[in-house]
Amino acid sequence: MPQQNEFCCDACSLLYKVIHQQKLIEVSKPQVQPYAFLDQEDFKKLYCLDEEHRTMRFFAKGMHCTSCVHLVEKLSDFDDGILESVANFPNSTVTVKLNSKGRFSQAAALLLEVGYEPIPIEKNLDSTSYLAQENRKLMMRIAVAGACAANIMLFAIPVYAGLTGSYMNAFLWLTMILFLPILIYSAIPFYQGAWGALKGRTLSIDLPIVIAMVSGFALSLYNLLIGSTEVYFDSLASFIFLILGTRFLLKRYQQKHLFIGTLGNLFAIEKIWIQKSGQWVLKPASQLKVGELIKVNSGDKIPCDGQLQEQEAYLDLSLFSGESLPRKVGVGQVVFAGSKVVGEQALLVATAIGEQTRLGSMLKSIEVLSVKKSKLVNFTDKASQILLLTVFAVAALFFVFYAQYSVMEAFNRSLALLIVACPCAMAFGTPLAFGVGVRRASEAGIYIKNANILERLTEVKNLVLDKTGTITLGQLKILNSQPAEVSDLYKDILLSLEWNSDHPIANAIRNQWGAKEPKNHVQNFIEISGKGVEGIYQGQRVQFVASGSTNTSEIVSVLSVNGKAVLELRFADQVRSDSKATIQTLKNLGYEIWLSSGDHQLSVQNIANQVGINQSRALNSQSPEDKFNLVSRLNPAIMLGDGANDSLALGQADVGIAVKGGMDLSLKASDVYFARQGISSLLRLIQISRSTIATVKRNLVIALIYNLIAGVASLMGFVDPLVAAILMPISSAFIVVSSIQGDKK
Amino acid sequence: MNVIVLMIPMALILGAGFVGAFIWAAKKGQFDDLETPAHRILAEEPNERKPQ
Repeated sequence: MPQQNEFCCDACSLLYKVIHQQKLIEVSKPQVQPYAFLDQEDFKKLYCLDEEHRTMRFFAKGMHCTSCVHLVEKLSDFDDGILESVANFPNSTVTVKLNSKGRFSQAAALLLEVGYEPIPIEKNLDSTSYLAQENRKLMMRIAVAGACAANIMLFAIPVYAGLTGSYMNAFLWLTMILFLPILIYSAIPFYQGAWGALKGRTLSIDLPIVIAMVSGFALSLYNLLIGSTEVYFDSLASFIFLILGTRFLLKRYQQKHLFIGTLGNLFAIEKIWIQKSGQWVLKPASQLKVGELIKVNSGDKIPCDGQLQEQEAYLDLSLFSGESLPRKVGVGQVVFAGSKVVGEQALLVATAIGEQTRLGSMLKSIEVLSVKKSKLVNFTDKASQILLLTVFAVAALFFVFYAQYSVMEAFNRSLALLIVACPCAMAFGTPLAFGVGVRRASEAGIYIKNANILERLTEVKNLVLDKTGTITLGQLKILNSQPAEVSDLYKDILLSLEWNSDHPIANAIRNQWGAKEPKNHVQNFIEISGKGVEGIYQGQRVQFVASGSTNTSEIVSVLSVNGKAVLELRFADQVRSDSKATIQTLKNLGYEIWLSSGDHQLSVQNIANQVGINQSRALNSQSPEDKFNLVSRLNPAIMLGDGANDSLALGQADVGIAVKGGMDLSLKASDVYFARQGISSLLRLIQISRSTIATVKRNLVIALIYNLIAGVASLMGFVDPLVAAILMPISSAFIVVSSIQGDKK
Repeated sequence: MNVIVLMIPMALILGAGFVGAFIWAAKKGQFDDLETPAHRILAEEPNERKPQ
């Protein structure tokens, strides 16, 4: 057996053991227990993808290599009840299918045992199957368009080569017939896009495409009927095929962000304990009604707005304040959905659910904002609209003037102009350039939901940053201790005291000294609410409580043994190592940087000093609404944040960027997601957007020159179908090469 | 040259057949996930199917 350290990861090492030692993985009872709810009918209805309740899809956190795929797909070897498990690597999901003996709780526990935390995906929120349907349809349309375009070429070339007589007629008619599937089937997305844009009274590139295609078809058909050879089905068909193809590419790249975006929903609250006739029962969150008593365990999120009962509770309100430290809430006070319970469990009576909660109304406004944003028109759409109007006006004017010499000739020359002057550069040059940009970004861990932001990024100069989790690490770290060296005994005492706690201090201790199980466990453990923890460690009374600190950006806690203080630890959130350099570079690039944080004045000032942001632009104690107002006032602005408290501002900003760490709401509201922590990805994104826009502009210049030359030539009568069939692919090739090459930075 | 009258329909039918095959494969979901199968092919042995 190779040494443990010869494996690149746990998955590889586990897979080796499974294959070579036939070691089957056992799942113990306590591991199955947390997933027992998956076997309840209520939850099966919520999650199962099929009618028989045999298939469920899980998001498996942490799939990253080939071994992971194999391991996850071997689930059926470990459990007789599992029929098959199919991994989807790019989406990091596993679809599990059971036979009649199988139980989902067992499958989920197995997934956890092999190293992937399973999160069941709600059937209705599962966008993957919907996206797959869309992709399949588009692929079929492309296949039909490609096959027809190629066959049309096959029949068009003999005609160009000099075929005459009845064969020529038959071949031209064949090209027309082969164009019909494209017109009727493949081009449907353009009709939908153009109609949608017309209804919404916005501009869209689809409209010029539809007009060029339909008028080209109608006029070519008319020429065919009167026996003329001026037909352009070949040029039109390859044009449509190219546009569909490039759009498909762009779509595929953008879907990567879309999937991550929908994860926000997956992490929503799904199960809650409700008291029904004196009994605690676990139910899907959707079944909760106002007035019911619920309990929320430590570490879980509160599913509704409610009034606290019986005992006070400690809540992590970072959703609204962005702050990492928990706050005390007294009995009878109102708590908001989305807050996380730390410390002991909380009992509360639901006062508002769903959209009526503060969280729900935030979600709703985010949706409104994103709809508003998607209607913004980008520069290339405007440019193509102007180009199209010009071409039509020129064609119409020419027809009117030239008709007095020869109606037929005027008609054919205007038609040639309409066809050769298709807005190629915008129709597929722009999506292609954007697609290349989006893909290059995703290689750098930057996922873009809407490629239009690449254009806006180059224009907007105001940049608003969130503090906690964005330019800082977002979690407490041990700053220093008194005395400086901490003995192993004290470390073990602290680890055992904080063993079951979800408090940020407990996490800081575990991160620093390893999450190993302590040697000795504390007896008679008590949580001193809001101050610290206490217990008996090997017969001695140990206590770890916060001392009244003078500085709100730091927490000082003291460990005492038998009443005697022996160790003082100072905790604080720290600036990420790359934040300062990134901010300096951004300043040099001419960005105006603002800091907007929900934290206290002192710690915000402190951090602003450290990273070099002007004090007058470092705003503290900002509510989600304050951040929203700041972004609207700066308009236009780029917003970078990680918390749900940033999400309103992210939705409002011209470019909203969510940073890794924040999961739920901020992702939904953002246009861009950084999979790498910190703000340094922003520099790369700016670079990519600049080179993409440069490419788009270069395409426009190429198109303009081409249109001028081809336009003049067609009006002078030099363009017939053969010249069009040569000219258009050449211009397309120019655009494609120019787009793909980009600036290889 | 009359053979062309036979050949053109045959060529078109052949082409339609391939398009049909592609559409069938797309509908079956063959192109939904283009990344995972590349990993899957490296697996050592196929999983044995179990009775339903």
